[in-house]
Amino acid sequence: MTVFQDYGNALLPWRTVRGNVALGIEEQVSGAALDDRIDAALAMVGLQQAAREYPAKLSGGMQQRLQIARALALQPKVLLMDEPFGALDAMTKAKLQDQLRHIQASTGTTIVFITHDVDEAVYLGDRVILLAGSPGRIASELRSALPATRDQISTKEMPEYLHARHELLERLHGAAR
Amino acid sequence: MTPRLRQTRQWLLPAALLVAWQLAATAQEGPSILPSPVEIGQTLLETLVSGRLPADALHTFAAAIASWVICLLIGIPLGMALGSAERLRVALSLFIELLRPLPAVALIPLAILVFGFSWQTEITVTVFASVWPLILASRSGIERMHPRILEVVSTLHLRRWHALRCVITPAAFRQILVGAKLSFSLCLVVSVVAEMVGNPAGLGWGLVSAQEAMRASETFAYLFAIGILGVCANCALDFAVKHLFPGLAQGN
Repeated sequence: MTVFQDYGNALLPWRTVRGNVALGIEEQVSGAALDDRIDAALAMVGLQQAAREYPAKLSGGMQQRLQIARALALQPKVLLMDEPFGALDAMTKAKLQDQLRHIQASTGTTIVFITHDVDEAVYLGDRVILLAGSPGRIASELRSALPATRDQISTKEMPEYLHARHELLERLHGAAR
Repeated sequence: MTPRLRQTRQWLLPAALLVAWQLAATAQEGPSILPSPVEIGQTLLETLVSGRLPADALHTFAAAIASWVICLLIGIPLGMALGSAERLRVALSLFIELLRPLPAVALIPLAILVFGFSWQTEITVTVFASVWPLILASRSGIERMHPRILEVVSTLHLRRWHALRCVITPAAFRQILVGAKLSFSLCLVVSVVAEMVGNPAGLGWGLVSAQEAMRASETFAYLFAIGILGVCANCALDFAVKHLFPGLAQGN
């Protein structure tokens, strides 16, 4: 299950928010069960209020949350997110990062999250895997020493956070050399 | 400029021309070649009341609609298939490029040989002339679709039929609609032409018989009727599209 960076092209503009979430599961479930699955997915990303809107009416952050809800509705074991927050502004990004940690904790879904942002990788990850190219290969791996519950302000001031960030940047520059 | 003033201005030129025409027609001496708008209006009314014009218009309209439906049934699937299957495109492109420039009117003698002076001739020629824009529009609707749409289809594990019905066809819909509208106007035009030479019925034949009988005002009356039918049919199509597909206004 993949969540793409360009949410604008990945959503169906002629379907409402509900219709977009329904897309992946409407063949398998129907009626009240379908409604429940859609409601649950929308609740996880906090989009219940916008359920009847069309994607064009939503902000970038909301559109990306919609794409995440569509993926979650399938109840995937693994969620592959390809730079999902790359096109969003810093405030929205921070909010969605926290929401994503929360969703992960409540669903237990494994999330493979691709990013170019070292801070994002350290803040979100339980494991950070550094890739080197090309050909793409795993350069090194870092296990996070951060607590499970994270906070945009206090977590980023913790010595563990700063250390992980330092370590990662150093390896990154080492790999580049 | 207010919308009302703008509307009034649009009507100024046609109204002025009509008045000039009326004056010129009444001023001419001797046997009348140019009937006046008033005479034409009278003839139009007479043929309307006698039931001849409505029956002819109905025939033309029915022929155009029937041809259009056939065009939709052939053009959309064929165009979409051409847009998605490279091999089919290669196999058919030369064939299509050879057929497409052939003027539809040139096909009429052949159609008459095969079907005689009949409605089959009319429909065949009309379909042949009007299916191309639909094929091309449906094909480019598929080709211009954002590649991400196909990735979404595969990442959501949509079944083929479901994806075709709920994702791919709607994604290409705007383009297909443009082709469908073009094809519809062509259907109307070509059925009139086919009636003039290939199928003695409908407005086209009415026009030709009025001319052959040297009835100038009836010829004009039929001409007006054809114009009015075209405008009404296109308005009806726009109205239907607007109300059948309200979601079209969303996105893109």
